[in-house]
Amino acid sequence: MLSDQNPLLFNYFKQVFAQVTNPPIDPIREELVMSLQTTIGAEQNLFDETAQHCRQLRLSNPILSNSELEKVRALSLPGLKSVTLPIVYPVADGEHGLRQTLNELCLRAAEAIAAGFTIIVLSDREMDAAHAPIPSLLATGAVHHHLVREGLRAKAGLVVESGEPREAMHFALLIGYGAGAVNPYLAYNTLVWMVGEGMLKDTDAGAAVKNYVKAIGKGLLKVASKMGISTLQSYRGAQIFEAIGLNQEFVDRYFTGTASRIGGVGLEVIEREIAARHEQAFRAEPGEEHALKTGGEYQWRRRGELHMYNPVTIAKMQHAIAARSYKLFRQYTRVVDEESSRRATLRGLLKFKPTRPPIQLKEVEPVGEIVKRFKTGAMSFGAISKEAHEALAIAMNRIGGKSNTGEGGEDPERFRPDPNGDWRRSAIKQVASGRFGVTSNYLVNADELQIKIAQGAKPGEGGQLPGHKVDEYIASIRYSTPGVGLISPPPHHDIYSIEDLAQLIHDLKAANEHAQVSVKLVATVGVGTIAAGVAKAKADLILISGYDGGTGASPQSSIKHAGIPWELGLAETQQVLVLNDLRGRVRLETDGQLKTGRDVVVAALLGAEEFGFATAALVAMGCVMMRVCHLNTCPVGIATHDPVLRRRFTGKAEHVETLMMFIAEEVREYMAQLGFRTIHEMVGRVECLEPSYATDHWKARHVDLGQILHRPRVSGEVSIRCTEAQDHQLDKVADRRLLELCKSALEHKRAVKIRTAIRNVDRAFATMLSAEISRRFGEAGLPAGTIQIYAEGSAGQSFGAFLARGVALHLEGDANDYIGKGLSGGLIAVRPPRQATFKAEENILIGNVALYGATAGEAYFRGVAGERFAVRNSGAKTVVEGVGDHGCEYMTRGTVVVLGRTGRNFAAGMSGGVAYVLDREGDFASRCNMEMVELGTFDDGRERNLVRSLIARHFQYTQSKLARQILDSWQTYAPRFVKVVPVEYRKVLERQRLDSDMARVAAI
Amino acid sequence: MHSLDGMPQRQGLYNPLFERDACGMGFVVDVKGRRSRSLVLQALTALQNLTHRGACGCDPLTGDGSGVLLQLPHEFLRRQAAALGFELPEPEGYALGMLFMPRNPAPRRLCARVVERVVREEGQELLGWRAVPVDEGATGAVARRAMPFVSQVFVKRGPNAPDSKAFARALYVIRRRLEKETAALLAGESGTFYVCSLSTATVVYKGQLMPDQLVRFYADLNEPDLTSALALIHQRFSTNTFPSWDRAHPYRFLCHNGEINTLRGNVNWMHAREKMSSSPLFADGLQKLIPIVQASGSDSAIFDNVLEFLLHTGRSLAHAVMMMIPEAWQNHSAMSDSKRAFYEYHSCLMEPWDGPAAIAFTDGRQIGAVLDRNGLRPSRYVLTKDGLLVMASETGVLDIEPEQVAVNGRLQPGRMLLVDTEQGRIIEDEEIKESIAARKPYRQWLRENLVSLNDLPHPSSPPALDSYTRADLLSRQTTFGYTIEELRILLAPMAANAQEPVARWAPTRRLRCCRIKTRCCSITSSRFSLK
Repeated sequence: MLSDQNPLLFNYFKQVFAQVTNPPIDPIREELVMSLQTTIGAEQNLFDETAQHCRQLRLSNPILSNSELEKVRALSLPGLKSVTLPIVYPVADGEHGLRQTLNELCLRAAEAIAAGFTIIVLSDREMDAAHAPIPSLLATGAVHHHLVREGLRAKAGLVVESGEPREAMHFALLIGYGAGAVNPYLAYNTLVWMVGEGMLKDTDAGAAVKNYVKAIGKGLLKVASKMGISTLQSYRGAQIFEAIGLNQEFVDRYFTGTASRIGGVGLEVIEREIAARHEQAFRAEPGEEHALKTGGEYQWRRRGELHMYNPVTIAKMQHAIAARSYKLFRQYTRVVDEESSRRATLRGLLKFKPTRPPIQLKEVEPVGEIVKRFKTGAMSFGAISKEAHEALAIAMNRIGGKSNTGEGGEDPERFRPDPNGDWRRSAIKQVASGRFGVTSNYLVNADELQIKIAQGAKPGEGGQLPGHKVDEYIASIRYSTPGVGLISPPPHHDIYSIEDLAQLIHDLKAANEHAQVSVKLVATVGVGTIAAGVAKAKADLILISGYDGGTGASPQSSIKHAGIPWELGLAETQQVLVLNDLRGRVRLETDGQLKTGRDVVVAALLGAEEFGFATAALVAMGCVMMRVCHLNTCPVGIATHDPVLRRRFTGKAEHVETLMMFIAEEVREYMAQLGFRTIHEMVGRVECLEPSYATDHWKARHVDLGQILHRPRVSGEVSIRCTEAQDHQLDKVADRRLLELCKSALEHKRAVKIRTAIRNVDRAFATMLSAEISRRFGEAGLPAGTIQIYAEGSAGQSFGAFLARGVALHLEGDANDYIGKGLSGGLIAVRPPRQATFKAEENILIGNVALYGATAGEAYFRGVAGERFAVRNSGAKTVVEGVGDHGCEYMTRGTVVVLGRTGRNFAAGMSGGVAYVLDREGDFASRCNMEMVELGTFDDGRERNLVRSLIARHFQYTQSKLARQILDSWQTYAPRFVKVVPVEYRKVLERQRLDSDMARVAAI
Repeated sequence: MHSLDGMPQRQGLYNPLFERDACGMGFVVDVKGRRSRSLVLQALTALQNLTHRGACGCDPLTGDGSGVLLQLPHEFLRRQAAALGFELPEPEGYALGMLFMPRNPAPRRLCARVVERVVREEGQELLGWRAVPVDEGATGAVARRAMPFVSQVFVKRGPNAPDSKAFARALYVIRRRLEKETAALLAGESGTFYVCSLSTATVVYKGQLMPDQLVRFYADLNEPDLTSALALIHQRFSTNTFPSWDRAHPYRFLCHNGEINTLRGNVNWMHAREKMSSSPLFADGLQKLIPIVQASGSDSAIFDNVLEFLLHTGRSLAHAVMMMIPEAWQNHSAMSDSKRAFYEYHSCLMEPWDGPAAIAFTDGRQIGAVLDRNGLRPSRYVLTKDGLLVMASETGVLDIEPEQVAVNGRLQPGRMLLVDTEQGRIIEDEEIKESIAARKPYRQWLRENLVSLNDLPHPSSPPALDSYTRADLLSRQTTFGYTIEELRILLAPMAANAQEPVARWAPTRRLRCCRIKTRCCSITSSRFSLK
């Protein structure tokens, strides 16, 4: 965290991102709401509305080429005049010179505005041997905030001409602190030079620069969309960052309003870092050709930045595990803990301060109790191999800990114990934004249901599993098509805000009332406040994931620039929950490169009750951190599905067991020293930690850990650890009565018919019933139509969520959001009340996000649906009479028939399944997102009949007049159906058909 | 004494600025503007049916806040005033202030004196006070700790306010002055004085209450002559358990379900703008109003501050809302040119208040709602054949006979729904926006004034991209901390693929790093790791 390598000022900032209370946006699939366009120049009196008000300069993109910058510089029109101010300082004058120059710069900017200039260009082009550049971010922040304070800011735009920015985060910071446009002249020059040097093959200088500008533009939109922001114009000056390692005074002055919680360096050190780089560059030693530094932020280097897992520590741990030697293990942890302190991680800067007398080791609770609190990380079965995934599960089940499915479903085969007593079932079932394989049966086979809000390595972003990784087996578990890539959306489409999360927790609790529901958050500034909301939304457990967590394929910018260490996130969460008197109702867990017993003890003292290990467990099974996780070429057979490589997998469940036992044993030793008999009594005892500045890291001196070690002053009755269970109020739900009424169906598979009224406060209707069916009959459920429920009224949210096979819901009335979420084989039909006189096909019938993540079943809606109909559908067949924007988004399988108008952006990110849209006006194509799909007509009579029969069923279940009309004039309507099919999906199907034809031919 | 705003101070890693909220909300309106008692009751029922969208804190009887905004119930108020010994002028001739005041009599008297003085100084006449009857027993324990004394104050239009707009301006100034002057007076107990509403048209009843408690707490809501033709309702879910009565919605003009993600920037820009704005309508300049934004408020409160300010600049409610939450116009090919011009013009005046949001707003005459550009909040409505419109985060909040339903609808992304109770009709998105977009020749103004960078002449001697010698380039790269790794891992993929690189932990190949002599050439190891 603290770098010795004279980092840029940019590196002291972290992006803040949306989680829970607002959704991140998908800037690629929902591009239509995104915009890079901005205007710069002077604003006018808001009381007026004149032509002069739009006397500004319009930019389609904030990254300026050199010639575009020259255009800006040359501007000298009435009301549009620019001036260039240098941002370099006499380096010989040191900190004083820098401070002085900054002050003068602010004054000059104000003077320029007084003189009528409306665009101010801040430029470091004039740097030379005597003048070092002021960090562009510092200059921007200083001028921006000075002008805000002076009330002048809206009178001019800021443009930055600097050699410093080159990656998207740099531009995001400059814009986030007020710049309207940026010209990265040195990045351009470097690219041209790289082309000249042959470092960029197949690219000429012009294309290289053009591609680069495009990449930065996309990167900017991604950074903004992570926070749920769609226009660059409002991102400008929005300061969506947290500072880490900068002192308060410095931040208050130049980056007013930005959080910086552990203190750190100020202008003096920042200046020293500039001067050091500058000196290196201009130190004229004749004859010596100097060179660019290697770097090492991204990968481990002997001389680069320090990393914690390196060849030495990996070897030490694997050796200890193989030899089952606790002594060797202690050698490993000693090296890691020393590294931790040398590297100045936050936990490395803390030391233990016993507050009670030590006790005998034997008085401490046994290892077997401690490991129950251990979990392995969420690594999906698509990301790591079957063998590795199952070994983790077996190990954790043996010791009473928990393994995690990750995002991607689980083979029901694993739900039953093996004959030898081992159990390959993951105790934790993850529910992520993709909802792959999240069925009623999946949910009932869990001890914990984990809602993954964000991922440590890339919070606020979605994911993508490339087609070549989706083999038969993975596809079957994810309910998708082999060979077709899969997209996980950035947000959960049923969590746009905190009350939505409360709803999802309610749904999951209904889907398995015996499991605890956990919510995984990524550490960031303000995560404690979010956690308090999550506790109020009735999560049983909250996981605070540190930025070190997460492996595999994540964009570079996310790995380095978003998320913060778990220590900070965990401490904040503990403090805020205690302050709100919510801590007693919820358990806390943390993960993010926990490696040793010491790490666990620090986490417990800061407030964690449970502990997650991902990388450590993989290393125990043989991972050597090749970092090729996304390439399917993992040499040790962990992160690959290649059968040949998988055979190389030598990891065993015993390895993981041994690791967990060793860590727990080490934990016990620390507990004895600190005088704690159980982990429970140790949780939240932050007074047993104190800062340790023993480290020789020169920057560590500036760090202030006071805020991390703060203990809120609250009355003695307020818990500092979990002491009670949440009241989920499941005893009052309508399903209790349904379960009574369906007894004969559940026990004897007898047909049951129920009539009932329903109201909007009845949420997740029939979800508990489905859970009971899955519990008794597994995936197969009951025979179709066994339970028929006729409901009248307005149904609450999540009507028929995870509806199991054998249940049919007939609703007369209307319904709210999330109807048929995770539909698992049941049938839902909704029609307006019989007495209604309005035209069903012109009126809204169901809410947003219907059939999200449905895996099987049928749904018929006689009326119009809201936004995001059938989002991430992976198997349901459905007919609807009109849909809002983003219909069939991210769909991977299933069949959707739309008998009316669609909104915009239909089929965005749709990689599988087929949609048929009745295009009466012939303008559907203009509302369809054509990035992944193609439009066509019915291939053949079979397909025609399939659609016709679906419409017939729609009529049968809803008495739709529209359906009747279409069926009656089928010859007229049939040609008007537009077929929407993903290109990749169609090719895969054709190949399959061809293969089977060939097989048939061969058989003959 | 507990402050009204029970938010703790910043401490440890906690900062009250991080607080968030969301909710269920909606409105009920008689499109024809007919006031009735039944409409008020329907609104309160709808509110109770949104209870599950709110939350409770550590105390199960203390909700996160709920409230209702109604038209001024003139008959009811006249009766109350008469009982208190003063007479109310005709509607529009007076304003009602709904105030949260300190419970301690001493500071309360101080505040009352400030109110009386400021009203007088602004040229209006204070007719009288009314202590609003409340039932403390209806609140949860935590809420009660921070419960305010609720007062109503009646202000008569003075001679210096010739028309209702001038009166509204005077009331705006009075309220801002009260907020600033009582804050100074009650320093250390900030937030103990709060104006829920001060208007000739609307009144807000709200608090740290659950919907069913609201009706019991405020006896007024049960009075048969308390009528209205429209009502905004709101049920809050916040991310804390600290009692804060003033953070309940509705605010003076709106209630909000959502989050303004760009808030910090919007607030900064408003600070910059307010100092360069002026109007002859505000005689002493804006000094009494500034700052427009009360930074301690929630994002919704701040949005309300700015919306109110824009209304006083002469813009209509719908116009102001369109400025703050524009549709996604940039990539919308089907949008009419006049509307695009409107949005583009206004993007020069104000950046969007960006984030997921459903906002319901009213000035007491018009009531409407708008949805963010991406439709990330639900908003459903029902219109009955006799002209009742119910809009809410969910459908089914009111029982309506199916045969009575004329339209079942939803608000679409970026769209607005507006009811004008004086015109007695619903104004559809298209009509509202086109009429506002036609107010001024925005397209012509843009053509004449907005300069597009692409249209500017190219510089006569375009600067080279590679203006530096190799040595120069290297010194600059070193000064700015460029590393070989960055060139290879960061820049190269962007230049090749036009997108940011995905972490590519491939075994390092020997670098062709050329004639630059560097240590990196020794990297052949395939074992390395992330920090």
